[in-house]
Amino acid sequence: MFNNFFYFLGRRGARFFYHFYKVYGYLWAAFLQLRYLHFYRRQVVEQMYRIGIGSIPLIVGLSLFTGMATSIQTAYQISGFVPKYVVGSIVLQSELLELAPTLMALVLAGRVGAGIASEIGTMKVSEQVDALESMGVDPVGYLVMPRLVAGITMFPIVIIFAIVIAVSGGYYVANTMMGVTSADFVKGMKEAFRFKDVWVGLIKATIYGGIITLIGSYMGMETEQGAKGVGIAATATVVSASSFILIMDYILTRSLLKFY
Amino acid sequence: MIEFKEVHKSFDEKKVLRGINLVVNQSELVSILGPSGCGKSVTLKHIIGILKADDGEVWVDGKNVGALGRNELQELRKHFGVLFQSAALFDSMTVKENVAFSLRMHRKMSEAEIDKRVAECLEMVELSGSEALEPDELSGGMRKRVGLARAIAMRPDYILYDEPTTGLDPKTALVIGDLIVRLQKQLKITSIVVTHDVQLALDISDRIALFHDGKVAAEGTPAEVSRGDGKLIKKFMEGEL
Repeated sequence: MFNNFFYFLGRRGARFFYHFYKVYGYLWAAFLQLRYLHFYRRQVVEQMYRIGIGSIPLIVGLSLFTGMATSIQTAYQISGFVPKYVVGSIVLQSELLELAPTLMALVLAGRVGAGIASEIGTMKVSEQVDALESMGVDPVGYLVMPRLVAGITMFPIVIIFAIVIAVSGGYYVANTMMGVTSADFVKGMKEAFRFKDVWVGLIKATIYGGIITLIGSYMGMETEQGAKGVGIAATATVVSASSFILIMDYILTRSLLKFY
Repeated sequence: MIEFKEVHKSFDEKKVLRGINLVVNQSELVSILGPSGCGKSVTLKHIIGILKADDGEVWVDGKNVGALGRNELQELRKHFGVLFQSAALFDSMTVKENVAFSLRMHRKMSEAEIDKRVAECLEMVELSGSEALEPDELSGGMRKRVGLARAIAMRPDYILYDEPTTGLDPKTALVIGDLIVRLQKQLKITSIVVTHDVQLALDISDRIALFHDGKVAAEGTPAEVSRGDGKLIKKFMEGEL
């Protein structure tokens, strides 16, 4: 029984490192394709629009609710213990450092990551990726690199929108429902604001953008077995990207906050 | 000229090619005939380096495909047009965008020149005026013809056809067969047609290579193959191969 258990662990471990090695291969290949950025500029702009601008309505809607919920919960938790202006501090810092980048990245792992995996996966199983290669077009340059560049550049912008909307929602709820005055909320925000927190949030967003688009592209490019394979690729992308985001969240939070 | 020298290829434990030797001369139309799963499409993918041989060599115009680097391989591929079994049209693009794809990627042409070339290619495959259609608005035969228009857009030296008549009704299959012959004569290109359609191979080919058991079992003109080693062709037609 123990032998079976260790055999199972060993196989899982080997598979993890095999995938990790291949993902790294795609990352390196995409990096090398950056020298043809000008050649693939149309694809880059198209992906920036689809991944970035296309995600803003969803992110704006959802971050409004996270901001409002954070505000209510903070006001509830501190009531009677600490001054109310602290609500502004906690809402701002929570959104900057954690909620906006991490929570929204989890949402985008579904919207963007699964979308990339199923789009590239469908192209793979219907020979469209082979067609690209046969026409002398590098699939990594045409499909992977533009998505990676778009993810890395557009996620921070999307997250800036998320932070602004979430804090606005938090302010509105604190002001209208929880008895926190505008002056108190703003005072709390001013006291807590540190420019480095903005950087920490944006660095997180950049790295999450890379993780989601890279894993989505990898899963898509490795798709096999027709429609079933496309479904598997999309699901695997959401699971893997979400797991990596949460693991990286700890690593980044620890290293960036300590570093600063 | 394309030359296969003792090409072997396996997928996991399964040996697909067991020493293919074949020469395709300039301006020739050669059909690779054989049952499904005998390695015909795999052979085709070796020519443009999508697959690499485990053993043996594939030479194209004096270049060993297996030894080419990434950039050299991409340069070589620009001399090929490929019609895939499923046509492999980019489904997010219109017919015009599909046909213009490689021109936009590799040629510095103005929009007017691209429009002109696309119209020419679509006219050759008798699909004039279909530029604005989406792939999902096309029938199976039309998809193949758009795939063919895309394959000839770069004015290639070689066209590779992977099962060009599979999934088509007999009438449309005849139209595609005629089109292959007409393009061959009109553009003076070298063509390799991979097919399990015996009639198509007999009708259109200058030479036929019959694949069996991962090797070229018979080779010659349609007349020679059906007469000389007729037993194999007969067996194949009767489904015994």
